[in-house]
Amino acid sequence: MSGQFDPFLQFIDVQKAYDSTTMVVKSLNLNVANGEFLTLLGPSGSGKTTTLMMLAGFEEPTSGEIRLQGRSMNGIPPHKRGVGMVFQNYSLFPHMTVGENLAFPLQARGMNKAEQTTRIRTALDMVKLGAFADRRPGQLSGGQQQRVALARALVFEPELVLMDEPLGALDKQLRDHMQLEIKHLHDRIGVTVVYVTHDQTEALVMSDRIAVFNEGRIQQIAPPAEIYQNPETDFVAQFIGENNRIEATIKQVSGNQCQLVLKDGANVLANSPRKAEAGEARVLSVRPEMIVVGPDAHELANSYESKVREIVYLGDHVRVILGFGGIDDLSIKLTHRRAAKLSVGDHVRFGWKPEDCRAL
Amino acid sequence: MSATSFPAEAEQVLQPAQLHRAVKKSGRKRRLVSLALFGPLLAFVLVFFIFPILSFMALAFHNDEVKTGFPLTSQAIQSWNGIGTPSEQVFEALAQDLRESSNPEAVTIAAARLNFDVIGFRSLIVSTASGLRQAADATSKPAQEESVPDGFSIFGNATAEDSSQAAAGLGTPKQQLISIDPRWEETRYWAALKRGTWAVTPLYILAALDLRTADDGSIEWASPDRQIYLTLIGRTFFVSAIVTLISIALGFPVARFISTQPPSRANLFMFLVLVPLWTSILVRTTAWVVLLQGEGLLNDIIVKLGLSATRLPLIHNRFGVYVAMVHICLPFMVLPLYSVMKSVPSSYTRAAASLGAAPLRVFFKVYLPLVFPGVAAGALLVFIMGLGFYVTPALVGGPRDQMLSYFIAAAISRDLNWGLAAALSIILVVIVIVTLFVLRRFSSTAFTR
Amino acid sequence: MVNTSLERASNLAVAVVSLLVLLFLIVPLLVAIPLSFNLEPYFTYPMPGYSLRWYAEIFGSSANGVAWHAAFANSLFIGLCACAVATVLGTMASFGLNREDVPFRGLVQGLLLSPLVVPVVVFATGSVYFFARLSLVGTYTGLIIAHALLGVPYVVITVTAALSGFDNNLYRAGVSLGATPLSVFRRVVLPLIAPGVASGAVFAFVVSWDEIIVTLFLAYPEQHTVPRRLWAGVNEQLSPVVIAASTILFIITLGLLFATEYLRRRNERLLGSA
Repeated sequence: MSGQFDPFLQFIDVQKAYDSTTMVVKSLNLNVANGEFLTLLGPSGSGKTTTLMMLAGFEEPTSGEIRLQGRSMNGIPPHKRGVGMVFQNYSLFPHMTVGENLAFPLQARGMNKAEQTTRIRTALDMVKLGAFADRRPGQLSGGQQQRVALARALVFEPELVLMDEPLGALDKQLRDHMQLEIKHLHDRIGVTVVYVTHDQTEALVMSDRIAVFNEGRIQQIAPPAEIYQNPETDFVAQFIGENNRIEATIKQVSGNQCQLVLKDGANVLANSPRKAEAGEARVLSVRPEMIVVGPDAHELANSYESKVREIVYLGDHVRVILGFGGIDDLSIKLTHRRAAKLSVGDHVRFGWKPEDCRAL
Repeated sequence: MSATSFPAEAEQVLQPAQLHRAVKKSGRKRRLVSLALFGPLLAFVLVFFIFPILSFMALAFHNDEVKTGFPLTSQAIQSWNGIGTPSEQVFEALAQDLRESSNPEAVTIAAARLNFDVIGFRSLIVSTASGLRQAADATSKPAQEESVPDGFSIFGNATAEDSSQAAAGLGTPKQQLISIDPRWEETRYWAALKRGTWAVTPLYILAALDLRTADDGSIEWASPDRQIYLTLIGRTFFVSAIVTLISIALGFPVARFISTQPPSRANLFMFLVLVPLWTSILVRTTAWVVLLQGEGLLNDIIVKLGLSATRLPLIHNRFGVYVAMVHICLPFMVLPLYSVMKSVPSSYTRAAASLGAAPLRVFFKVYLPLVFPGVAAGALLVFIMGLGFYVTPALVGGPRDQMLSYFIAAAISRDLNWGLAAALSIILVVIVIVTLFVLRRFSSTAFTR
Repeated sequence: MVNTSLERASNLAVAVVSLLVLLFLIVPLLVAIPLSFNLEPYFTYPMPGYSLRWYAEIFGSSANGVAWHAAFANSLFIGLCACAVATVLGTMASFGLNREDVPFRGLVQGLLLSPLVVPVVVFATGSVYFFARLSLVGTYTGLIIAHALLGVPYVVITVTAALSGFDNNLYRAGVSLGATPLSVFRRVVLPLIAPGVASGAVFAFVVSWDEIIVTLFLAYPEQHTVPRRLWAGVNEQLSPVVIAASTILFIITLGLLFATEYLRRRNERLLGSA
């Protein structure tokens, strides 16, 4: 996708520091394609929000450059960037009606009344709030307010829309619903979106690509499936999805597969995303749902036996906890049917494929 | 979609020094905008508020009246060691300053300044100046007087001649001045004159503390008839403290009561507290004058109810001052108390009660510590306000109820004594600032404890 | 059950004391008012008859009336100018101090609030000394500057409080939508903090409208303000005219208090129950 010559949005060696000792964003290089939905995902303080603020123009990079459609954004004030933005707390102007809120960016652009009216109607219809133009934000529910905020960020047809944890204030059900709604909206109008969140589900559901931030650096940037299935660092594996983390040492390497020894002496075959050397200390990452339990596990390259310590009922699935490889909380995700035969204290056989396990 | 598209290894990390510079640069613009916003007001306050007050306060140490009024004497007296009387040159210089002054107004001002140090100095200078003038007349006019053979004039001339004997050179300048006024033999006048030539003077600050500089340079108590200011400072402090205590005693139940009322009624009651706050102090004080005066309403009621046979003196005394000041200060106590009490959830006291604490215990161990910051804030506000009161004591108090502010105003408008007014101002402001710091520490530790 | 009856008794006592204190606050303001309608120039009840003659004297064209007119005009003029200066400078400064990195914020704030703490007499004497050198004594400019200074802390306090309740993301949202900072300030920030600015402005006006001490020092003898005439009236010969003028002053104050309260509520209602 990304045109090598003229990416839509470009971060070039961007750094940001608020004081001379701590660097909030460390040497950020990032290209975003036109029409892409990119999510910046990371814990608080990882630099993702600062990155967004630099993009919006509320913060200046300490060094480096941000380019939008080939134009340097350095020194351009926020109101001249033409970038739409949706805030976590909606930030609708409480003293204006919904219609007036939407008219605000159009008036700032000197658009005539008639065109304003059409645009506002289209935008409100788009978020299914056509009948609410005369209400004040205070009279709307949280979900409705968020839709108005979306409509307001889109009504002036910006090329780029930034969203700063826009669903953070909503309850879970509404959030799930809005995730899909935003995704569909994006698919429909094809605007480029840079979306900041600390919620991995949100990132997985909506994004074309996810950039995982930690300590001011992008740990990995890839499509959701890639991020989930092939995490490149221990942090990414841990931060996204459930993960079993086992310390290990590399014994042998063959291609991108290697053999490792665990603390309890067990041998494991795993993939390594980067070059490995014998003797190196690594962390094994196995997703709970990738672990097979029962006789089938005999045929797997990684196959072991252990005692069930605990069984936790979680509604849609059951979690079985075992001691293994030096940890006492290896977690396995099973359906009810598979777990039905198990009880605490049983010795069970379990295992996983080498490609479902990564040495990070 | 391409996967990772960043050259992770090719980072260009800023050197610490560069980083420091870049951070500073980006902060500078913001700071400039902030400065542009608050700068005008800051400049306004500094130029028209802080600077006038400080330059006025500096008058307490200002000491150039004597140097301007007696330029030659001021120079000559520097050589005097402070024992006995100065040398002939100093007397000579003084005589010359008095005789040939080009600026009689400066001499008058210097005389007033010296008189504030040693009472009687003004009359000494006036008598000496006129004595010298007569002597000068006597030596320059004999020709004229001879041409007018008039018995009366001869008689008049004879007395002038008596004093002009000295002036005509029958003695040294020292003898001449002492013969005009023997007080020139006393060390204390010369000592005061020399103190008048110091670069700065402690005179006013000492006077405002009932002290003075003795002739040997040590500090001693002022003469008993001039010891009024410590009493005044004490009174100012005392009246403020009493008003603060009464305000706490009355304000606490009111704030507590309003904080337990349902919102609509609480609003109404707070309105009753706010109305007096917004009403002009003069209007309120006028109301109290009407109520409290001898023929006033309160006395009417007292007499009618037979509580007293005669009309009571309720105004132009300390009682009137307390009543009117508490009336003015009380809203400032209720407001912070109310806002703190409103924020204390009743679940705390209920929790304490449910744990078995008796009501009094709940009040003292739970409620009071929680609302203490409000008490401290209100007390701070009222006490500081009280220290500066001027209008109310002036209108409803008697002569013995006036506070520091009144004497500052009087020092200027009645005595034209700027130095003393400045010294009293310094003392008042220092008390205010010390109170502010002490009580603020007190109220902030209440939170952390 | 001893506890509850004790509690009830103490609650009752608190209520009674509170109501008495509230009466103490309010009644003195009210008892004097009827006397301004007294037919005779006395201050005792019952009044022999009612009349508007004292008001007529203030509003009339007698020499005394003309002096009152001038005093009201002076007070209004000085009050409005002082209020304008204090409100504009105070609002700007509050914005400046509310920003992220302000050097010496505590010190600056302390200086801006100092007119609230320094006893007025000290400022009055200081200003006489300093303003005399600028030939500002006895001028409207001098009085306006002095009154504005006394009003500044109130504006700073109320606007700062309003800004602390202001969500800065609204400003960011405004500029992100393409409006210039100035236009966002005018159309978003100002309308939302308007109640704070308005009550600060009213405070600043009332401070000047009621100011007597600085006026006594700085005004020239004929430059009368309403408080100055009241002062003279109470000091020399208490006349019902003074009570009538006090009553007018009181009613104006009450009107201002109601107006700000109305503004505040209207704004609250406009913003909905968000």
